[in-house]
Amino acid sequence: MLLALGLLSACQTANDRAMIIGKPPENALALRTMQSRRFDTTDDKVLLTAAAQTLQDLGFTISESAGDVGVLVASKQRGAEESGQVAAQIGLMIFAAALGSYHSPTWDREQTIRVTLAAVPVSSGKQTEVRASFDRVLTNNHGNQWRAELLMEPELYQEFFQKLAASAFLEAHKI
Amino acid sequence: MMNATFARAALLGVLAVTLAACQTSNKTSNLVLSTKSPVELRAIQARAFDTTDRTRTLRAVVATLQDLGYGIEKIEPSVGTVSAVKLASLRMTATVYPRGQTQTAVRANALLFGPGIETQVDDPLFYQQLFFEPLSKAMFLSALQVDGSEDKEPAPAPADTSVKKP
Repeated sequence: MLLALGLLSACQTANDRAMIIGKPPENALALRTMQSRRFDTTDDKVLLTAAAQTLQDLGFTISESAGDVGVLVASKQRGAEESGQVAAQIGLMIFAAALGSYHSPTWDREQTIRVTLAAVPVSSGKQTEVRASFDRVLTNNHGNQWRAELLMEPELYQEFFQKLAASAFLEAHKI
Repeated sequence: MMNATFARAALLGVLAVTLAACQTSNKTSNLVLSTKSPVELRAIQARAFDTTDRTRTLRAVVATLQDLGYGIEKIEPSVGTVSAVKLASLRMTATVYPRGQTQTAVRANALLFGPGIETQVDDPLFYQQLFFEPLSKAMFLSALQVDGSEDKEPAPAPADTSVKKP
């Protein structure tokens, strides 16, 4: 889908493309709800420390942290090869060769998953809201970046916040 | 015999050139800056808010970027800068700085990545609709146009090309 967008936008100006890419995600409100939890504490440092530990447990490397504004950024790399995708691509190459042309087999090789986490005091003054947003960039077998997407699976966020709550000894409330 | 060898060498040469044409260099990406004047760019990229709370403003910038689907890349609260990337193709850098005695200003700058090229975004609509309007909502304050009279802006940060693309 994104790749298609990229191909279609070949003749657009940078400003046009920025207007498309810069648009908020379609389901921004649902996404915010999915990515946010409230905790009964005013100490955002406790939550950030717990979040750093949770992310490390999950294999992430912390790449940026700013306690003053409650921000934590982490990433991890993971293989993204699926045998089905590889087989289909090789099949396509053989099919193209039989017709006398060449198809360069392309599949996902690696993915970098990134998470941005921000802890914000809630205006009621008794809680802290944590928002974690995951996205990933896929690199293909030719070593090129070719796909990027926000991760929207509710289970992923559910699991992350469960682990975070357990690590901080606090309960995570949905907003 | 001689002719065949020559023909083969020539074919190889042509092939090499043809193949090279499809290559894009990831290492050296060219930066295309806006042709608009600095004054014009500032009017497009900067807004002032009636608050002196810089930390709160920076937090609001972070929340807005997150809402818009950006991932934070770098943040430096003491200087008031934040850099974020959306879908590996759009980088937004924002600076939060005091403006006069009663205001805080936010200056944003966006770069769009293409194959081997980075282009500065200078569409006023982009900054207004896809950054300052949501930021203004997050701040519960209106984003005011800056006229440049009271600005004590730090030197505009040069486009950071040393940072590895995500």
